[in-house]
Amino acid sequence: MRWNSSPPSLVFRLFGVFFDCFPMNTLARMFRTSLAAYCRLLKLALTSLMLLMVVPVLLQILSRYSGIIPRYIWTEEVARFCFVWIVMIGSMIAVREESHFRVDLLPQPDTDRQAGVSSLVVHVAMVLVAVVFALYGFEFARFGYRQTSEMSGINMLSIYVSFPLAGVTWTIFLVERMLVDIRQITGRNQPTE
Amino acid sequence: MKQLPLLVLVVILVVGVLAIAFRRTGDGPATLAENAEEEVFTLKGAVQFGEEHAFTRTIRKFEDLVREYYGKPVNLELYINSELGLEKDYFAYMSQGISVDYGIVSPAHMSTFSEAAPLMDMPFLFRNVTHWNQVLESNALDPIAEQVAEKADVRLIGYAGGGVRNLIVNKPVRNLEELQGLSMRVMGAPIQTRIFQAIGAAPSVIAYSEVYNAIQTGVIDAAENEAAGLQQMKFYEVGPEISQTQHAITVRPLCFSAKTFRRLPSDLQAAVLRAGREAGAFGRELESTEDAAILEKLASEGRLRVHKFTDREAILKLAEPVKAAYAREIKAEKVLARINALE
Repeated sequence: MRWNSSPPSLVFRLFGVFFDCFPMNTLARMFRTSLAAYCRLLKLALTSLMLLMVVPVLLQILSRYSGIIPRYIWTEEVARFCFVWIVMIGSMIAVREESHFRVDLLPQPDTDRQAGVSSLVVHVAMVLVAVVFALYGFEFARFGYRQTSEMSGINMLSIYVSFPLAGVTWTIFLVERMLVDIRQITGRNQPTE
Repeated sequence: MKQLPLLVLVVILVVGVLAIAFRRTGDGPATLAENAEEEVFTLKGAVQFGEEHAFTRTIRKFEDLVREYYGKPVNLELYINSELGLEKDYFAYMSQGISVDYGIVSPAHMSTFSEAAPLMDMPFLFRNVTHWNQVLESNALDPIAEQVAEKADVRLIGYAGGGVRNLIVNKPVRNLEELQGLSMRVMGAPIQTRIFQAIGAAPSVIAYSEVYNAIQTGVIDAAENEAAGLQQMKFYEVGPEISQTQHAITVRPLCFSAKTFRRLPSDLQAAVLRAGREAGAFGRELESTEDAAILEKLASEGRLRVHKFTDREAILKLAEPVKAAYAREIKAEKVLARINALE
């Protein structure tokens, strides 16, 4: 069969078909849509955590100042844990939405390309911090795994794991931002769609 | 080539941060190197208080004894006045083998690692100072120390403490009746809350550093502390009425990071253990004799008023079932029985 006679060319052709089916900008779009979905999930989690935190804080205030309910000691712990997660998830979302505040250190860019380079410098610096969090975060999470909380007795891994998760999430979101920067630097800042 | 400076900046940043990120920790001077006989070890200690506090002096004594027993040069650096954070942080650092190698930590801060640890600091555990000294001289607390060593990787090398804890209130509390519903701060361990609830108070958990403000602003009316803490934190300024409940005699283990300990040569290890035990005894003697003196001095200066608590027997009775139930829960009945059996 011809299949046997010239397999390499067929393989290359199949590859070609494959790449035609999944062109790079489609892959990029898939990457973007899945990150958007992940970000929506994080926002949902953030909103629920903030609602959840209102409960123990309210109970604590009522018990301290009015005495109409008993002084639950778990309220302090639940509020603290919620707060840690709110901070970490908030920082993840802020990375994707570029809402972390910035200090002007680099000169004001004049052209589009310079703006891209300037932005890339910032994102590279951020990704380095993110990688440190991701790498050392796992060690940190293991340290949490050896502990159980005083009041509710839950494993502290559930709190400590927010640090490596934040590191990984920041990295992924920053990769997305850096791809945008690179497109801007190379002058292909017009998306195909 | 306007971007060139930026590019250079990026490269410098990348190289710099990667260098920091991938440097292995633990390469400090405490690592056992090839030429161990020439190496001078550096150990770091931490304490929340100033030089005049009993804990700081106990740790200073520990350092002196380590130098004396080791005989060779060794660097011991103590960071005082909460420079390296709070006791809970010191314990976490010692557990991980970073930043802090030795320090005195309240057993309450060990509870996330070892659930039995708060038992040694449980209110109403000791009958009096003699009983307390007996327990710490014996090996009754060894099972707890073993659990801490196993779970947290921190060695308890000596037992300091000796402060008698009383209530610090903004109004006189002299009997059980006046104690009812008293909103007070306790340490963040469930046993503390349960015992004070059992005797009728209304305990909340508040950070130690916020107690002063909490009493001042009326969030709570009372706290409980030993004289050294009362003096150091100036709690008498907001709560000048001391109610002598004498509900606890403190046990403050002198801790040493087991990760650091394993890196040390055997003669230094032996020096650390011996110095720890003796510094603990020194600290107990120091704090237990100073405790009453501090209260007397502050009272004579008119800074506080000491009130006898007339119903001490009654609160002991109320606390008894809570203590027993707690010991059962953390499977430390045997430890509690041994402590109770000692004269």
